[in-house]
Amino acid sequence: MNNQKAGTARRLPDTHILTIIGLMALVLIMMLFLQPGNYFSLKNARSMIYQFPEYGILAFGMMVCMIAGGIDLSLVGIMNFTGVIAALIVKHMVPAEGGPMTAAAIILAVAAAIVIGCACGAFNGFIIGYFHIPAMLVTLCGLQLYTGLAYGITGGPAINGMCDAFKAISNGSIAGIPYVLFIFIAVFLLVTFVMKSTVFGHEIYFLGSNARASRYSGINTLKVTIMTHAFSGILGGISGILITSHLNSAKSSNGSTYTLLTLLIVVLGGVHPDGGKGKVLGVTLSTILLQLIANAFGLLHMDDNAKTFVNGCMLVAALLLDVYLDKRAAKRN
Amino acid sequence: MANEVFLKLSGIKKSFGGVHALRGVDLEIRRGEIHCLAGENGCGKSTLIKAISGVHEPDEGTIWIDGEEMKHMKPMDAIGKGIQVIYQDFAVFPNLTVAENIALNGELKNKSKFVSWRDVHEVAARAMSQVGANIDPDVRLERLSVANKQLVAICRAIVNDAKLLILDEPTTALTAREVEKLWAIIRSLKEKGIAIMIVNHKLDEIYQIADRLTILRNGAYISSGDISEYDQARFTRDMTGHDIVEDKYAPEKSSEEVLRVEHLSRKGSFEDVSFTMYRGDVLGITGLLGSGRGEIGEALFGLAPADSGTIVLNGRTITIKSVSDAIANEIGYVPEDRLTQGLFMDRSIQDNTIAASIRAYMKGGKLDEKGMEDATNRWIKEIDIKAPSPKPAVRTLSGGNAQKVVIAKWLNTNPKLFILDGPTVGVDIGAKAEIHAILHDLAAKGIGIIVISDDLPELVQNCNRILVMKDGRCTGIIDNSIDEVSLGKMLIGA
Repeated sequence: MNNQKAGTARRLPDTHILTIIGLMALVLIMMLFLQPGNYFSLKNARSMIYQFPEYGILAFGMMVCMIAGGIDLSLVGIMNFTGVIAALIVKHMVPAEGGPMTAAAIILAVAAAIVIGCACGAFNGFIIGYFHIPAMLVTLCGLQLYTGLAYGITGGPAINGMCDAFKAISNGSIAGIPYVLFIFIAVFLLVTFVMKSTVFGHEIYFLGSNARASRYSGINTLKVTIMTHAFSGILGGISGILITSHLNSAKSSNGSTYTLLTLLIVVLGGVHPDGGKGKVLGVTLSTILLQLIANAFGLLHMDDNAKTFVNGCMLVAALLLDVYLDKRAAKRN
Repeated sequence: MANEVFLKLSGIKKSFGGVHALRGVDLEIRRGEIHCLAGENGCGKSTLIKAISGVHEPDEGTIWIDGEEMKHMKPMDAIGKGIQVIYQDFAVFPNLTVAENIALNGELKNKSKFVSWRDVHEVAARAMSQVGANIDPDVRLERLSVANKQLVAICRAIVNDAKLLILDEPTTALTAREVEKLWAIIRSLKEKGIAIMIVNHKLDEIYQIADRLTILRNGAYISSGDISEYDQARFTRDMTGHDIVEDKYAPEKSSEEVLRVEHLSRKGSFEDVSFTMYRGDVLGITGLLGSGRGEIGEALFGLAPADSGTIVLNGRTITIKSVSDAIANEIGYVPEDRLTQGLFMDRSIQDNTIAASIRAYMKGGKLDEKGMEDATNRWIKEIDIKAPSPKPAVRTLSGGNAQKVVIAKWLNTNPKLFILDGPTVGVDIGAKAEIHAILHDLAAKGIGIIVISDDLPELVQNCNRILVMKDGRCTGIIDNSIDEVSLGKMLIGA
């Protein structure tokens, strides 16, 4: 009886994405009045681009796990663990005099970070899917575990002094455009493709919206859980490379604020905490929005705690918006 | 006191964002009567209950309770007036004990800050003796059977001084024997002068229990009167707006074997079940809850595989140890609970339709969006799913249409054997007939159809053979010349 109406009302533009774009415009307009010279400079744009890819890619990992109905709190642990390993490989295998061995060692370091990230994630996924332990607990343990492994390898102090070629990954640019922007775009396209155009991506959405019905539809839920977390782990490994190169340092405690930051990005980006819903574009825009805000705060010499407070306010607002949208949808039925 | 009107509604209208859920409903419920509210799914029954219980305020119309006109009624006002609703999920607290569930609400109502545990037990015991229930008050609720959870909900309503008890489809999850018990309790409440309103659309049950009947269709009031004024034909006509004639299903005899099952067993579920199906057969499997009827379906679909026995599908012996084995052997399965097992409620019709066949759309390393949409559109048309496009979420569909989406999901895999557990539970009469027609079509095309159900009239009418389970064993395979009463006797082994 009422499906006709509800059907036609469905094709509204995504409210979440519109909200984020609105907030971005708000930040830009405010800065237009407050600090137009500094904020809207090429130098500032480049400094922003150097910063957000490492946690933006982590946020994609958080996103896929949350769409699958779980969460990945171990991403920062994976990032540091893989970063430490990559740093070790670069330090020990790149010859002091340079040469072709440099490229080989760097490629090996990147490959190792990705493979190990994948393995860490798969381990999380196996424990979650096989023993049916909530993802929140498993990945929280994973965070401790991988952080501990990274600590065990470095013994505390950071590994510093990587070769210039490795540092260039996150600090270099071509024609004024940072390499990391290309890396971020490539990862964005990859994640978009996986989520939209592969069976695996659709299975992630199915699993998150109803795990039981997934099983009853012949989806191997254990396999999808493992693959989802492995995918997240790979993204953690890529971030590990980026942050190690960016800071020219690898240790177990880098980027410790990123766990909460990525959660904030993902929820603000419209990923439903119960799973099954969320768009790559929303998460990407939300990453950029938070970078715009962080940067504005920096330029205005505001306290870092004030930034945390504003982020907190936005998260609450995003959750309330979700509740409101859900209610409105429910009312329509 | 009898015949005195307790609740009167007049001209109730309610819309949600342009959708008219109620378009002028009148209703009169008297003290000490059992009143059935009937109508197909989506006719506005649940909205009406919510209007009576103060959850939704009507846009137009008047509600009188106990002679007093209610304005801007809130749920607490309705409860204060003695209106108690028992929803399908019973809205009880699974991790509290029986006694806590029954009594705590009352403690809250009395605004007491502290809980007296002796009172809690006393109140619970008194309420249970009133309905003749005998449940251990210290057991946690989640461990009770559906029927007992319902009893607890009824006790809770009594503790709260119910003057009008509304039960929303109370029998859907009960066995025939439990339904009998529920009716006895309801009749005893009626004796005490409590008005009872039961939402139901099962004709036979309405005749068993109702004094009076009100029928809604499409949000509008159709008719109301004593149950004696309704014969089956009028009931169906008022419910659906047209006459429905269903003949018993009688396919052409065939010797072409589709499925042969021999000595299938699963420890603790069922033992030594054998049957053979021929082209055109629709096999019904029935039995009481716990008889093993559902477990046979789960075994054939690999959810809870059999320990021993042989399955021969289209002349080939197959082994089913998992759901993927079943799907690889082209078996489809519509589970008993479509909300939690069958559907992805927040996903689109398209996503739901291709959920079990998505791998077929992987073309050149990429999912074929167009192909998936075309397939969904084809099923929407072919089995008449009432939806404007493949895009709306399944949540927006009515029960019958949602069930058709589950069916479409499996039809899109081209199954050779299609098992349906309770395919028409919570589906209105019109859509029910359509679903049966779909199944008969499929059977004629040589697809083996197994319908697992406890809806005996449905089985007798739509299956040409019926397998009866009792205590995990097959007690007979009969053809559909049997009438439902004798079939009912077979179930309990009388």
